[in-house]
This record gives sequence, structure tokens and C-alpha cells, in this order.
Amino acid sequence: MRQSLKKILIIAASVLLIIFLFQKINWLPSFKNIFKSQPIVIEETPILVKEIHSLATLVSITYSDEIVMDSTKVGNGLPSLLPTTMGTLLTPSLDRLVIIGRGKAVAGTDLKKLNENDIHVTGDSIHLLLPTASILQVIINPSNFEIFSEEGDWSETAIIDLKRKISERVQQNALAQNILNRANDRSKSVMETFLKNTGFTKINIEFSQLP
Amino acid sequence: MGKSLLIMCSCLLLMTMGCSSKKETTGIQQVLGLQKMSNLATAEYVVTKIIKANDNKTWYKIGDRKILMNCKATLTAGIDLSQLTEKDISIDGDRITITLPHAKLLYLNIKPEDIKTAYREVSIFRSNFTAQEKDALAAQAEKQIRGSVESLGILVTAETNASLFINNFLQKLGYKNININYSSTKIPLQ
Repeated sequence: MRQSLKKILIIAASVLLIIFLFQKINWLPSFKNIFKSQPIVIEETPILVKEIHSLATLVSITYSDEIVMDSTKVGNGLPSLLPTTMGTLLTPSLDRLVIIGRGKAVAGTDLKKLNENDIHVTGDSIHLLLPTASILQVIINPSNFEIFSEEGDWSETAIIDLKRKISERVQQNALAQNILNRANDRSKSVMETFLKNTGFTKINIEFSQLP
Repeated sequence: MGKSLLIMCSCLLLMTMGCSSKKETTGIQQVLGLQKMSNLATAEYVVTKIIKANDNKTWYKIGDRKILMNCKATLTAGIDLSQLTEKDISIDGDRITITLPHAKLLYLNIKPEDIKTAYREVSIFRSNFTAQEKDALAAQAEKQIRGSVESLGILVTAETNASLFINNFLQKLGYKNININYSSTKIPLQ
């Protein structure tokens, strides 16, 4: 009786050991993953080049920010009772959308606007009239958005509108941080270094129109 | 016999204990605010991609759930002028030789309004695609686009345009004989 019990135990232990080893080398799925929802993976589709543009932009400042934006609307759910000092109040159900966006505003100088009249060279002296800096783009990619809360049914347009507001806020904050003046200063400094390295000793850089 | 059983059980217990130890993940803390740059952006590509996904990999979920989205992205490439030092430039009268750093991807920009759902099919037993799920799919597309920078040829275009711009600029500065080449060290993609 004892011998047969030992045999059963050895067989059980061996089976467990084999299962464990198989799981370790990924021949068997892990127990905890059996009821785990599988991630949705997109297919490798071709990338089509639609437009090609030639640029000459000196990117001189990047401003990074994190913005939280929310939107509320009357939903289709059951109304709820809200306790107030006058008693309870029947309120409609509310749908709520909260998005966190981490983005950056990029500022710089468009050197394509430089024309021959903006450059005056006399020996080792140079006078350069640079175009003023502008915000080139505000970048918040899909991986930079976090849907913190999504209650109810939200249309694609409503979500895009909220994300656009986040982009606008990043731009506003960048402007409030004086990004354009800083970009001008930085562009001036980069151009000065470049011109010094190309043999000029007296460098005078001005801006065509300050913001 | 009893001894071998004991050893076997102990091994199994030790392995199970080792398996339960939690892995610690380390995240990179993002620093927000202003950052100085010295990039000369010289090429911009506008690309499109179809995002195609089918949520049918989970065995216990009944019914299909698939989506097709259109996505437009803008890629900007150029050279980092901060890597250009005095020793990369040699001047001899009106002759100048510049060794520029290789072009790299500066930015990838996918605007929220440039991702549109073209088609979706959700069976009666399944829930609709949430904004979070759609963002996760678009983020995968973003990663695929970022990974295809070399094959798109934007870096070659960026270097050609950079050479052209710097050549014209140096001509305006008075140089007659301009030689532009690229450093042998390759910059890793951003």
C-alpha cells in the first residue's frame, strides 16, 4: 500500500516537473495566461510616401509639457440621485472623458526665407539678417496620449476635439514660456558658432522682425 | 526511493519559489520644459498607412471584432549642427571642406485628426473599440513607421538637401570651392 502511494507521488511530482519545465521553455502556456485577454496586434501594412518637402529650418528650442483635459456630456445611462441640503435631486447620468497628453512644441528659424540681401560680407566681417523664429509644430503622437477615463459612448470627433485642445494648450504654454524669444537667441547662437567656424571674426546677427 | 522523492519535491519547490519573484521594472523619468536644440531640418516626408487589426486571438471571446483605420504621418529629418566642431571644417583661401554628421530622424508627427476609422466590424457579443484601444493600435503604427525610416529613404534625402543648402549658403558667404562630406560614424536613429 505504502509502496504504491510512493509510486503515485513520484509520478505526480514527475508530471509537475515536466509541466513546469515545458512552461519554462514556452512549450506550454502559463496557467495565469490562460484566461488573459490576448493583445490586439496590427498587421504589417505598407507605408506610402505621399509628399516630399525640402526644408532648411533651424530647430532651436523644444518645449515639452503634460496636459490633462476632460469633457462631460449627458449620457444614455440611468439617472442618479444626488444628495443635497434640500433633499435628493434626480440628475441625469454623465459620460466623462479624461485624456492626458504629453507633447512638445518645436520652435525655430526658417532659413529658406534668407535671401541674398540678408547677407553682407566684407572680408572677415559678416552681417546677417535672420528671419524671426516661429512655432514649427506641436507634436503629440498616439503613444503620447493616455485615455485616463472613458465613461459612456464618445464619438471619434469628440475625442479628436479634446486631443486638439490639448495640442493648443501645449502651444499656449510654450508661448507663455517665451519660446519664440528663446528660439531667436538660440538660433543666433548656433549661427554665430557656425560662422565663427567658417572663418568670420566679426559677426553681427539681427532679426528681420522681432515678435 | 524516499530520498529521490524528497530531492525531486525540493527542486520543484525551489523552482516555483524562483518563479514567483516579481520582476522590477525601471522607467525613464521624462523631464518637461524647455530644451535647447541645434538641428537643421532639411527633409519632410508625408506618409500614409492603413492600420489593420483583428481581435480574434482570445479563445473564450465569441464573435469577430475588426477595425481598419487610415493614418497620416509627417516625418522630419535633418542634421545635428551641435556635432559640427571646428575640426570638421577646414579653410584654405576660398576653398572650404566641411564634414557633416549623418542625418537622423528629428520628429515623427501624427496629428489626432489624421487618424480616421475607415471600417469596423463588431459582432453582437463583443464590445465596441474604445478610444484607448484605438490609441494603442495607432501607437503600434507609429512604432512601425519609426522603424521604417531607413527604408523610406528620408535620411538620404535629408543629407542631399543639407549639402545643397549649406553649399548655397557658403557660396553666399563668398566661398568658391566647397566640398561637403559626411562623417564615417553613423548616428543611431532617434
